[in-house]
Amino acid sequence: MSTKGKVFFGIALLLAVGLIAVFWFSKKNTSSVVTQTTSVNGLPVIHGEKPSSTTKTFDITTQNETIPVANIYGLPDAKSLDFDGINFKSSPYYHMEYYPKQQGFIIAIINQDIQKSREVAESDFMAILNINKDQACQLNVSLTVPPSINQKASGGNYGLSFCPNGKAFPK
Amino acid sequence: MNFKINLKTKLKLSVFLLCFLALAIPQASFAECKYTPMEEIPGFGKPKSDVEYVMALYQFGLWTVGIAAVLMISIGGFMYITSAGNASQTGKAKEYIFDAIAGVILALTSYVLLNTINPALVKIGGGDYGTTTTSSSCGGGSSGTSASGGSGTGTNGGSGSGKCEPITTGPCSVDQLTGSCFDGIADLSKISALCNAESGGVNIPSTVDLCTNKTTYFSCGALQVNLTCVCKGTNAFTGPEPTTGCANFSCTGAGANYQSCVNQKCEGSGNITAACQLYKEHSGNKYDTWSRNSGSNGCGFS
Repeated sequence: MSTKGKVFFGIALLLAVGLIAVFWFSKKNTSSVVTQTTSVNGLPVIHGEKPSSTTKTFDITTQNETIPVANIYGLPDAKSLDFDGINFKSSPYYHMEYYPKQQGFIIAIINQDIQKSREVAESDFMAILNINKDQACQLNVSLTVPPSINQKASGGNYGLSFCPNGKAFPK
Repeated sequence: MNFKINLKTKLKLSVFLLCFLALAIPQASFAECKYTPMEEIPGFGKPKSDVEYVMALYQFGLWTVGIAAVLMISIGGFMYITSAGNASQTGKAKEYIFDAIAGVILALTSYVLLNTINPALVKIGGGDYGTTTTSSSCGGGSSGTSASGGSGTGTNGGSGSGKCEPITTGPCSVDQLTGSCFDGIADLSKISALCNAESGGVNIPSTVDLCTNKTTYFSCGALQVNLTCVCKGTNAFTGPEPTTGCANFSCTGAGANYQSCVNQKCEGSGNITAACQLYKEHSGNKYDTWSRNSGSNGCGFS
């Protein structure tokens, strides 16, 4: 093989090895612990697994960081739901559920004073999970109002009021 | 070294370009259609959507190219070693090796290009393709049966505010509905939004939908279903059972199997499956299965 041929062969080999390495490592990254799926609002849903109820905290993986939250599966009044979900807190104001697959929370307002109920729910939500507002805003939270509570506000997904994606109830 | 493009190389390049286009185009077109793939791609499991299916095919193709290249380089190397100075044999061996490497480079270049355009394009398991689900012009659609008489809906709830947004968590999230009975026959984004409008996405016993005894509820949230309808004929309720469609909500109280009905139809997958059955059986605009879809303040999905 001529020198020119050797050089070409070497470059081609290096390119091939480099591209294989890029392919291999990017494939590894996508098949690690978390996988993503499309959500309707354009934000990815990061999948998780049901945490053990014996630990004090468990981690929720968000797009930016991993947030440790108090282990709601160990709460005495927690009620197991389908899809490994949990109704971890209910009060006269709200009903809270968590689903590990979407690593997301649903806060349903169940009191006709929806504004006050929302404030109570948001405050309790952070206290129960032992997180601050910044951390709460990174979580996947759907805040909803059933039609039997308030017909006008029903159907909306309001989020947490103090977060950038939070929406006010209709007046 | 001869870099003249011969017919064989032209053919290879054409195939590569065709493959590249075939991979790029479906990202835009398939994103709007719901199709449930039936066959799995070896080594990549059963893809959950058409987009995943195409990406699995692509990655399967990449691995095939890689394996074929290793094989051809080995054969070329063996030929080179055993050529014993035979110039023709040596040339053939080199051609095998260079062709194999060129094939790998071509295949992986497509990966790098797609990855540069949008990393989600090369990820198996979804990824944000930058589209929302608003399928209305895709073929296929409902495979449900026609209604078995009656024009009533099987679900409850009054007129709404017209604001119908999907929820991102739980049984009614698009993520959880994917792979459910609704997948492939309905726009999951609309089902999720209707679920939110009907119940806020949670299963809570209704305080409004009550039998005449005022204590027995006949709906329990999430994608609300009329329990007197979906548990018809099981002695779950006392009083007259619905005779036409599911519009008759009359019941006097709980029957012997009421709790069993509640356990089956008032949570998670059982609730979704029951709602989906009603959706399949509904005639006309199937989203009108839920009363929150129609009316001046309804979601208005079609």
